[in-house]
Amino acid sequence: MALENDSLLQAANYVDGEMSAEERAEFELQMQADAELREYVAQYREANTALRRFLVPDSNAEALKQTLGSLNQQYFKPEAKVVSFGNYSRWLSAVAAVLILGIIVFNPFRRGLYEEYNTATTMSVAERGDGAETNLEKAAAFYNNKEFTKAEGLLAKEYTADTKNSLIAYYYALTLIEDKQEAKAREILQQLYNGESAFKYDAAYYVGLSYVKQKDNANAKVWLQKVAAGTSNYQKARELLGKL
Amino acid sequence: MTKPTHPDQRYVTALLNNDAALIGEVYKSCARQVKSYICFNNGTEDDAADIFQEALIDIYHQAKDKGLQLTCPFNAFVFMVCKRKWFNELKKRAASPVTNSGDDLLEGSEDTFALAEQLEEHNQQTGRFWAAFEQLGERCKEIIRWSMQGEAQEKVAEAMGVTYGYLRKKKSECMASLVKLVQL
Repeated sequence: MALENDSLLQAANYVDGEMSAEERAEFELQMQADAELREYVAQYREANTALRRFLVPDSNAEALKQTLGSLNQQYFKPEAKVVSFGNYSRWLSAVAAVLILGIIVFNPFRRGLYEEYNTATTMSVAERGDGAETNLEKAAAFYNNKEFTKAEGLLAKEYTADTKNSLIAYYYALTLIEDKQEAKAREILQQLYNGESAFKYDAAYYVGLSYVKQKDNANAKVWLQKVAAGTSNYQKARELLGKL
Repeated sequence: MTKPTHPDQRYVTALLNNDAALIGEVYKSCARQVKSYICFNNGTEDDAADIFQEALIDIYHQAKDKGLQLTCPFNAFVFMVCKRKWFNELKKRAASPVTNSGDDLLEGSEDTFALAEQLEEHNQQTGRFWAAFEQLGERCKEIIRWSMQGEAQEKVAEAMGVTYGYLRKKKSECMASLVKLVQL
């Protein structure tokens, strides 16, 4: 990059809206005469927009996902099929035999490593006991019911309101993994890992698992090895490392 | 030179506004076609549901970040985006390729094709920037993350215990490294 540090700073201030009207006008004049600078400003803008998608919670996108989630169930659920057995009964034993053989040979019910090692199946929050259910309690209910998209929506809001609450951050990240937003989840989990909360090593374990889910074994190993001995997921992490 | 926007632009707006009734129309007119295509090409109904949802979310982002202007019917566009996504997914799974080896990706009008291509490029671009961000040092990540929290930058600097001047200078350097990483 041949641009001077001063130009880099000005470009950042220009795109981020940190310039006065005069400064803007002057900078735009400079850009007219400098193709390289124009190009850099365009790239800075692209980078900024791209990162915002991951770093700035977008309540509109969350709301849209809720809508799509329920429409998906309506339009994509397998249609119930009614089968009449009557004449087919004698075929049934043969079919059953083939099915059983198929299950033994191919075992379609064998779960993936991610599902097998996903230990955080329940989310519990302290109940206040005064009747009114808090959003966090609702989120926990959805989470425990495996309705992760719904839990994600609520947790996204709670997380935006309080990014320092490690419990919210942790479970929000886990719903993101379920929702195939592994990169965004890792961003949150890595912050937890860098901090000193009770979720420090659980966060490392789940960064590892998120890589397992994406079949990136190299990165998975790096993170699973960070889970410290004596913490709750240590045994599982060791076991999983042996399988990768 | 610029083509007029297609009346179906209202469906793009519906995604931006989370207008459930109009989005319901999109499902009504496209879901079946996408489902048959994916199920016919080694996928399941769950795959179809995932791909369809991802496609609509991508279109939302394309509209929000890039001001997507539709120049073809919405259902043709959605279908093209879903086909391409499914084609890429199958490549990723490295299983059997899509029947007729993806030639039918070229079907549809030029506009539909170009719009779907732009969307895919934008998505890849976003992914590259994010991958580059993950490679930055902790301090840079922190600076960028904080500075995007929507607060006045003076406040952000105060919260981080640095001066405004330092925050701006450091952010511009971090973003420059990020841009450089993406170009490599």
